[in-house]
Amino acid sequence: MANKYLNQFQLTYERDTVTIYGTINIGASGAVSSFAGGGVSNVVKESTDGQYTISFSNEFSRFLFLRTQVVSLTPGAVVAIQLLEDPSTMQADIKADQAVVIQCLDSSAMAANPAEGDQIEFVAIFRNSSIGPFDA
Amino acid sequence: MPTAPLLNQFQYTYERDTVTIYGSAVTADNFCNIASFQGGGIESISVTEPFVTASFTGQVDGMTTDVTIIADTPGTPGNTITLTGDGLSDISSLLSAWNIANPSNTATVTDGDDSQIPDNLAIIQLSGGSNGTPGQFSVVLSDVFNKLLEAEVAIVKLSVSNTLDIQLNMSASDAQTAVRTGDALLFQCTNGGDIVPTAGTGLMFRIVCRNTSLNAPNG
Repeated sequence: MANKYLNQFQLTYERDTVTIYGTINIGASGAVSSFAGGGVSNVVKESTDGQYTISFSNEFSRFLFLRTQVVSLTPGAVVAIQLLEDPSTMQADIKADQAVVIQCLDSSAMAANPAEGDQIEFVAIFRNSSIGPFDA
Repeated sequence: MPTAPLLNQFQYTYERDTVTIYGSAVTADNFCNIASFQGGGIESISVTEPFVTASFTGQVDGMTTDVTIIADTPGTPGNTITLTGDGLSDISSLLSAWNIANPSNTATVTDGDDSQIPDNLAIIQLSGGSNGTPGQFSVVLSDVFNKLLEAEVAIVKLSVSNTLDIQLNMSASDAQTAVRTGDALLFQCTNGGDIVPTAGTGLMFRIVCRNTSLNAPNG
């Protein structure tokens, strides 16, 4: 280990959290040229510009958070990435198919492809435990 | 329990005693009111300053009893709702004419006798409507912490949201004070300017705080 000041224990109200780090490399016309990440089974480019379905290798009890960002040498058209899910059924939907859909948006909130050569980084956080005292 | 092989138990950080809070909320309407929220460590999620609906309660010349008229849509447009008496038309007729002429800014009599006839040129003016803090909501944590490390919100909607980003809408020092004192963290919905998210917009929170007062050493 490089640094002796690292702290091992991180606390959370949620039980048995699992963090998945992934990347999506973008090809021509927003295509997925490759993807990587432990726990990521597939990434598919949908017909809509800038829309991707990220599939995970395992089923979890609850989806807690998704963080995304575009990595690019120059500012591009994509200024935001939204989770394209129905909030009222999201938990059941994700548990059923172990997948989330993300939508890249430009400054006019229109669907937009990331540029060729860009990369989307994402961090997906799940709860493994079925015990959820704070679940609504 | 769902199985996920190859998971590693230990995660390291330079910060000591970090606490991660996950929460979610859904907007109830097009005025940023929150329909529901959940999350361990979250005391409340609410619109910082709700829209206020314009109204009129009282009587003008020609009337003998009070009437209450409330705008159908919250916010400042209701302040322009004006009924001008002609000495012939009752309040119901005056209001009906206004609503037909202004279909996006209507009002309703909620109390009192609307058969009263205001005098010619008597004016009933609705007032008090305000837009609050458009698209801003407050998150109060259940506990106090020593330092705020991260506060992030993801937008969830089945269709493309009108909200591009949600930013922590306070100075860095105020945010740090808020987690130490239990005051609200303020988040602002934006699309380049302030925007009010539409009804049914989901919000997913990840707030990371440090419990200890010990700063992480450099290097």
